[in-house]
Amino acid sequence: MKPYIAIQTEDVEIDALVRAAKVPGAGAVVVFDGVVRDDGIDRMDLETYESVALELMDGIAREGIARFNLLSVAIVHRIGALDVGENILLVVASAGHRKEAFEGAIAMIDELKARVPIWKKEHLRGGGTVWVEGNAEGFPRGPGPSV
Amino acid sequence: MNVTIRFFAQFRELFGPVHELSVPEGRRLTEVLHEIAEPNPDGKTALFSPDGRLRDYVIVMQGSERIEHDRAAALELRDGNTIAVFPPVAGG
Repeated sequence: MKPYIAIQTEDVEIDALVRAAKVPGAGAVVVFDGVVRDDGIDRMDLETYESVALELMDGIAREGIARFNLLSVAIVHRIGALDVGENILLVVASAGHRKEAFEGAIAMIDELKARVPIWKKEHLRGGGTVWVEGNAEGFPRGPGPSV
Repeated sequence: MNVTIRFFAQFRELFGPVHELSVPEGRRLTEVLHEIAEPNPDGKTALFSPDGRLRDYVIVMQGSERIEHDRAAALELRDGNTIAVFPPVAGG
């Protein structure tokens, strides 16, 4: 089964992803909707290395399908300027039973956060910007553009 | 030969998004990165430690393959190579 993978600026049609996940044999559909959290920010900007990100997302989805017997997977990541509360990442996974669907969704989200080249820059309510700390020891935080 | 170095996130802000360079055959990746960073003190500090090695948090990719720092130091670029340099990822 071919996963649905997308990186886009526009919002995500979650209902359509859920409908598409209800394939024959599916008894559980898990939806993860990651949203912009209000950590004292007005908005965040997301950027990506799109060609590589799409390739890695596709690999993560195919690995999830094989490892957790998933019946369908959709991963949609948004980029651009997003306000607090907006959707950032949708992962929709279906399986015969809930355990595989939940575990598969969690594993794919963890992999995505660790490996896919996407970055977030937060615009603080009090002014200034800060890049969200990524996954690497020793990486200093600080206001952009300094690192 | 021609090579392309792409920078993302903090490194894009420091160096610009793309450097399309004409370099001599056999030029090593880290030599090219040093040349880009040299006129940019903030960028140089962000990319390299004082001993001239890439900082631990710097990620280098050729296509979708990550290049470990030891290999990056020895990697001879080839015509048409595209290398991406970026900080740790933070998607999701």
